[in-house]
Amino acid sequence: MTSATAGLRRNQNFTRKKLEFQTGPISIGLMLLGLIILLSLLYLNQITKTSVFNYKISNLQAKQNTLETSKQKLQIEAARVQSLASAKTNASKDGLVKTDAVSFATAR
Amino acid sequence: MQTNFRARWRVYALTVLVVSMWLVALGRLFYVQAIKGQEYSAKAISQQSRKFEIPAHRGLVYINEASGLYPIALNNEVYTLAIDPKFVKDKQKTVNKITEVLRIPEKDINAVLNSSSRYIELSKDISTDQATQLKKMELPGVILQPHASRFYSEGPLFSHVLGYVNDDGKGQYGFEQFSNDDLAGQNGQYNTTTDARGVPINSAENTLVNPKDGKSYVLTLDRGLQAVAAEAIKTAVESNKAESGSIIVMEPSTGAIKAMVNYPDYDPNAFRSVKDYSLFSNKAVSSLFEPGSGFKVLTMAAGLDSGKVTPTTKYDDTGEIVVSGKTIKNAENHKFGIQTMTDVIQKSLNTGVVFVLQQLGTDPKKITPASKQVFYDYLQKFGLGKVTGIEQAGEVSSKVKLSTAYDVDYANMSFGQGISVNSMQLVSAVGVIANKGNLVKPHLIAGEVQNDQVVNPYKTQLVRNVMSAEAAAQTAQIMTQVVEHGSGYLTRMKGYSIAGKTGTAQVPRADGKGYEENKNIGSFIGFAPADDPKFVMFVRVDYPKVEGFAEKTAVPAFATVAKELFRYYQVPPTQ
Repeated sequence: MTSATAGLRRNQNFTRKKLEFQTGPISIGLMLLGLIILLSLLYLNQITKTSVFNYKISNLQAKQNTLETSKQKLQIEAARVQSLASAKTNASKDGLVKTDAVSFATAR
Repeated sequence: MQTNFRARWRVYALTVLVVSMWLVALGRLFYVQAIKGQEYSAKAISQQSRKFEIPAHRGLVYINEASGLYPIALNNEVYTLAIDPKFVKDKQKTVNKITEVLRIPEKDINAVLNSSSRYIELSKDISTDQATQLKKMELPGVILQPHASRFYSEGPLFSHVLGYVNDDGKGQYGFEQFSNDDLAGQNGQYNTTTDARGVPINSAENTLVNPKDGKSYVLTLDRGLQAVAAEAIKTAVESNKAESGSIIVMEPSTGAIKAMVNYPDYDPNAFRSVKDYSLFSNKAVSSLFEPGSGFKVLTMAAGLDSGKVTPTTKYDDTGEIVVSGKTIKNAENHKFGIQTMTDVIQKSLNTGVVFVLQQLGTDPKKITPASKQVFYDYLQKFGLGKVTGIEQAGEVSSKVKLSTAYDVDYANMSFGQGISVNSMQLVSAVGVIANKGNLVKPHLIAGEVQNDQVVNPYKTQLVRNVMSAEAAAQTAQIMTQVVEHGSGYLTRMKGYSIAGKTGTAQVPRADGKGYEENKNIGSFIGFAPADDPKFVMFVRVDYPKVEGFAEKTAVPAFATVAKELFRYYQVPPTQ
């Protein structure tokens, strides 16, 4: 027999009282209320985040549209600059003339 | 007792009242939920949701150049300017402000402002810069609505080949119409729940179908050649005081179209200002004509391939030939006596090709059902009697008489009368002679374009072998004599062997009774170099008003473009 078990036997009246949480209707109500508030805050947080992201997406989409419009404009401008009409104007400005005679070299 | 009775009666009455009210409420609930439920539900959904169409981007059209792809049809965002006169507060100020930005006559704006209508469009092609300026002015009653439009970088140069896109976003004429479904793509859709003001709100029920952009294409055309051809046909039409004209250039081995022009043309960027709608159609594919003497090369090709004649086969040209009691004469009543088949093409003898037609049958001295059948079969093999299938809207099928037609009809057909073709079909058929006897499908699409790269390049489609390579070479050799010693002399070039044939065709009267007196169509069909052709070209000048045959009206334009083509294909002179 160990000394510890011997000790227990000597103090036979010893009892350990368990701690118990008692919940009545008020405390349950309060807890539910707290839970609801917590969930509401989480929900609001998510909604706010979603709205922020939506705003960001809208901004990016608007930017994308603007860039696409700019791209279209630049494409048109580039095509206009490279057009034959433009080339003709520039050629006469730069004093370029048409070649009439083309010679072919014979490979030996 | 009486008090109890009254009290009980009141309770009963109250009970009945309450129960009745409940029954009415339940009945109404049943009516709303069960009987009208679906209808109300649909109404609610329609009020709370909206559909937004997301437009697809129309595919672009390019041509391939040494420096890369060059777009000839692009997308452009423009605005429609409209006015609601009811909201215009100061009319004069509105007129002044609009004319500051746009070149619209004041009277046109005033007419709109004084109208009783609520929405009147003033212009449909306001640029984004102009729209921005107008928006800044904050003019009440002035409405600006963006919409997609097309920009054609080369203006009229490709007008007939491309066509245009109308205000509804649909391709009209040419390639835009032919490939409209592929170019347009598919619009997307955003179905969303909205708030009371109709503003979209986030919802799990929102659905998005992304748009599918249209396909972009690169065409086989060459910008430089197109410009040279456009200038040449313009000069030909104007110098001959003609009504119109066309030029087609095709690579015989691949069927790739390098140039296709008509004159007069129009600017597809300003299609709304075109009053004569006939200008829109590509006459190179949509206008039938009787080809005249140019067609003789096909008759001769049939004779040579069938082995019934050779380039040296002789016949006696008496200047006329009688078929079914009707006399067929040579042009200008010429008669040359004993002539070879080479002479027939060189001198363009009607009697000579009727002779070839006679040889095709069982009795070489007359046109027989067998000769008509053989000739008809050759024409079918050359691709006549149907469309070529080139990527152009409005191509009309050629008209070839059946072999059961009268002998005299077939005699006429042998020199290009009483048969109708469009220019593209004639180019395709003569392309057979230039391509060693093989018919290939003419085409404009060189491939698709994705991310600025050409994908799915077009592969040459061999339709069929029509004639032997030897017979094709013989026909080509005969055709060179037209240029060397015949009516094609104006296209003769030192060191180059060009095969060709002129045609001055009569124009049938609209009532079908004979031919117009003072109208003709001058044409020249040819290819070069004759022994290894790089191009087939057809020039057509409609209704010239100056004296002379095709050698004066169409041949010079052929020569101008041919000279440029030799440079383009880097063909050195051989002779």
